[in-house]
Amino acid sequence: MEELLKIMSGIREDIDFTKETKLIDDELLDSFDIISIVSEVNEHFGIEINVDDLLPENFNSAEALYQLILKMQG
Amino acid sequence: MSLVSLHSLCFAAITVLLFFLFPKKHRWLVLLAANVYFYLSYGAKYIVFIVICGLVSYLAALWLEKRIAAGAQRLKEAESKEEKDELRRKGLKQKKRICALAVILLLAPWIVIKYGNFILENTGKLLSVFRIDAKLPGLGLVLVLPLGMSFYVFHAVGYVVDVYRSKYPAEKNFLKYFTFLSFFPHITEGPFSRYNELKQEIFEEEHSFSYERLCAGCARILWGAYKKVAIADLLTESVNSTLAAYSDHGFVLISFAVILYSFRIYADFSGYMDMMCGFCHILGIRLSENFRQPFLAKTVDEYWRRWHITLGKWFRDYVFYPVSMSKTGTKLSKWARKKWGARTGKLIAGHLALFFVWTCTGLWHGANWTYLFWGYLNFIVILSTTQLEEVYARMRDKLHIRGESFGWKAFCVLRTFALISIFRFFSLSPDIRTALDTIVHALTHPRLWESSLVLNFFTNIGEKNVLLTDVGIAALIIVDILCEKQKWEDVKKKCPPIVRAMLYAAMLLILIICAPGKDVSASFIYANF
Repeated sequence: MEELLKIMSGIREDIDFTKETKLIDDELLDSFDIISIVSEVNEHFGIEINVDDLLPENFNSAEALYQLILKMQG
Repeated sequence: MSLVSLHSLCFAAITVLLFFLFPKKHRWLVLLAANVYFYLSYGAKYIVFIVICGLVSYLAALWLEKRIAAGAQRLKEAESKEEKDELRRKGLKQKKRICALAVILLLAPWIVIKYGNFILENTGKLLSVFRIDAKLPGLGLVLVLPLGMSFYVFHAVGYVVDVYRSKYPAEKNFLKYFTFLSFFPHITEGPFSRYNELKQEIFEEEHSFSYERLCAGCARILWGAYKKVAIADLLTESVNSTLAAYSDHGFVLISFAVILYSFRIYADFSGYMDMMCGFCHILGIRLSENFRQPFLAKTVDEYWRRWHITLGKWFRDYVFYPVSMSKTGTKLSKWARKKWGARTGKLIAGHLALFFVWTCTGLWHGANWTYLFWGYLNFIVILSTTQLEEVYARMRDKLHIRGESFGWKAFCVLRTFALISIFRFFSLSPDIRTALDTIVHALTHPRLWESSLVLNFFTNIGEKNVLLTDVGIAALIIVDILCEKQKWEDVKKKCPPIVRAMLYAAMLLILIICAPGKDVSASFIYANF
């Protein structure tokens, strides 16, 4: 989780990813942020998040994205 | 059927009445009947296209769902990891094939009708460069785009792709799906709705009658009709004639006409949305909003997140993400990261996808190079905004300008409005040459003395109507500013009922005076796209 938070903060340092739970619903992340996060996460965790996984429930919080990563690694 | 007419008023009233008289479970059937009546009122022959589009997308979604279920079952039964991976790979390939076939079948007729001549004409020109005199069949054939085809085809494509992505299950009842696809409030100008969202609104909500919703819905319809009739329609002739005869005018009048054109298209498009959202509100159906005070955007990028919002979201979900996250996009991103560093590497796939988005957005608006050029202008400005963000920030610091100051924000808003207005020269002109000529002519002929002729501009509108248009535009700006500051609801609540009633009565009176004799049905601008 620490590594993921570091990646996300590196892309948008103005957002507190430990607290935000409506990153997509409140439009805090734009489409460029999302593809940047996906690209870094894929590379760092050795997984392949693809366009079908781009659901709000997977990206609304760092925790939700972390769960997706764990699911893909599993 | 004209939307601002007695006919449409009766149509809406009867639909509302029947909707609430029907048993709750079957109210959607009233909407289906209304959709069919609405579509047929524009001409019976084109209904065949929407029915075929509906059948293709409906069957493709069911086929996809069947494949997904069968794949999941086989996956459950598989024992080894290798076997599971192989099944996943095969399943995905099958799904992709079905989805691609459906998307091609859906888009093909639309592309032929909308872009056939454009493609043939330009293929001919390209071949003539190589001195090949090709006689292309079908060139010059006038194909009329069926009403709303650019909208319902995109709705159908979105639905099939969503089922392919397992975002929601396919609809089993064709009539329910067709009610969504042909839903008259969104078929001619949008908004682009998602099936899972509208399904909830149309088929699953309680839809109890509410007097408050009736009043609020009627007020919004009235405001929308006022924008259409008292702003958009009254400005049409003056704006068009001034821009058509641009060589007779200078910078002042041409700029004035383009600024008013911006207000005209906004009043026209948002007026339509207000009417449709208002109507749906009466029924208890929430339609996606398509505007969020676009003229208060501080950058072109932000403008496009506030103008025709649902089209932007459609392109984001079905073009931007698939392109930027494709294998080519990922490879390009990795290569650029090595070559130019992490920041550029990160952005390059996004920019490639953005290029595709603006190509599609330009072409979606019309089969003409002007629209494509207009799309690329937007792309270049958005690209430069993101790429030069740090440079702009440094420049601001050097000039001691505070980014949060009112003056800077006002400058950004005006700059964005100016850029968007300049881009409009291209979407307005018959060809790129004319657009460039108009801009060059305006810049080289300031004719500042024409400022006094601005008043003459309004004589085309008619002296009595000048006040209506002025008041309308002022009201439009004030309402947008109040909405932006989130004070509009408070203002409405605090407004004494008598004042509100007088305002509505005045708007209604203006509509009655202005609407008869005018062919308002002719041109809701976006219905032509």
